[in-house]
Amino acid sequence: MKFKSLQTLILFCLLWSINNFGQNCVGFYKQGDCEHFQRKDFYLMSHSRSSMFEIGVESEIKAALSGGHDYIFTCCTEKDYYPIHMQIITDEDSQVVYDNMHDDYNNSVSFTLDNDQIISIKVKLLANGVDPEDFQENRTCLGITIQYRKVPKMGF
Amino acid sequence: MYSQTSNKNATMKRNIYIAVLILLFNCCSKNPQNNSDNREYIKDTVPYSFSSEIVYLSPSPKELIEIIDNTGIVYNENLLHKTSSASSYSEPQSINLNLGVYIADLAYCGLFKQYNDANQILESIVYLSRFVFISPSLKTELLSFASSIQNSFDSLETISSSFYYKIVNDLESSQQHKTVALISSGAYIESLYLTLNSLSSIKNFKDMDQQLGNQQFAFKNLISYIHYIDPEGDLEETVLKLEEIMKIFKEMKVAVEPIKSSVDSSGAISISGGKSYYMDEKSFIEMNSLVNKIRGGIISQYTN
Repeated sequence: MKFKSLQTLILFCLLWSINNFGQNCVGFYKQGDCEHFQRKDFYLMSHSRSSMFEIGVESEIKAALSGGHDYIFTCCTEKDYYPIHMQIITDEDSQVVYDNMHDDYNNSVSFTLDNDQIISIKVKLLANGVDPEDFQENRTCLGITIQYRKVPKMGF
Repeated sequence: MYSQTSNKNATMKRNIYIAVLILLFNCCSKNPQNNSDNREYIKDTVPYSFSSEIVYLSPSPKELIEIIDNTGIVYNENLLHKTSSASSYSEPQSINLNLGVYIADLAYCGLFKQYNDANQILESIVYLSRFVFISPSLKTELLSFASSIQNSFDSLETISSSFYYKIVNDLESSQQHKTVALISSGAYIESLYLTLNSLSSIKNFKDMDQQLGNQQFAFKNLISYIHYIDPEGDLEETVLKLEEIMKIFKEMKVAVEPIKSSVDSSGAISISGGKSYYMDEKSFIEMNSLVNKIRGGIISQYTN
């Protein structure tokens, strides 16, 4: 009897671990809002990525970007974890050039960069729909996509 | 006997019920992935490491080298690192640095659509990647690609770039940041070596002085990344080489314009201004000599 219980327990643990391994964020940036904002006339940068994020913890992405290009940064997460606070800051003089707090927490921002620069993107999950005391729910997947294209030639 | 079989069956049935229940629970529970989506996912996750951290994103070797595209420069196979040397490296640091060197060489071949040389370089990459802890699935992918490159209809240029990111993303996902740093350093130094030596053959790079000078942003980001992931200073030797390069970049002529951002009526943001660096002839000669020396040191690090 004890053996049967142990067998059941092992089976339960094995299946539970499969469940937990399945809770990673692989490919998350290819779905939902991240997919919704992808444009066909832009290329998806290979270093677009997804990861597990904690509510209220700020992360920073520093990207060396080429001038003469248009870029689109998009963030996406699980439904209850919006809004996402996103800021775009120049590395050279720490100037905040965009803060989505003043743009209704828009998840996607496009901009043109004239010269080569290092640009910082600060991201924080605000998750207004989640109780911050609920430890089980304070982490979730966040995807970030960076799309780019050369600035099209204007005029004839 | 019958009773024992019956009990076994009952236990098995119970276990199957439990398995089905848990699987049903898994399917119905919150899952970040869209299960109906059968697209092939690339390994892009850095579990629990992204939060409260700084992530550095830098261009691929292909993006650094492509400034020589459309300049009339002809392909020079003598600039490539010998593929026969790949088997000579045994020390982890030189394996990683030279893996980066070959990745940049692949990008150079891609730019000139040199499939034969690219194929040999790929073999060297596959060989060296055996000593780097990349995932078995990526190893299989590298092998299958190396064997099918001649028949591939994909652009070699595009593939060389995605190759770099695939290796980098794979290593980052298993927290091997120091390996990434060494591979990137080797790739960046080789990219600069290929660019400068290609341009010295035409002795006319004035139209590209700003593009050359601004390559320092990629090097600056790489150095910041290494300082961030290696506070112990294990990679000090490599950082010193990169800082020597950075010293010449910093001494270049610079034009400074205040950074301005503006938003037009459609909501599009434009960021202009900032620092622009220009590589003049003196800096070019100085940089070319230094990079040749550093690159020579990397490729000749055969054994301990």
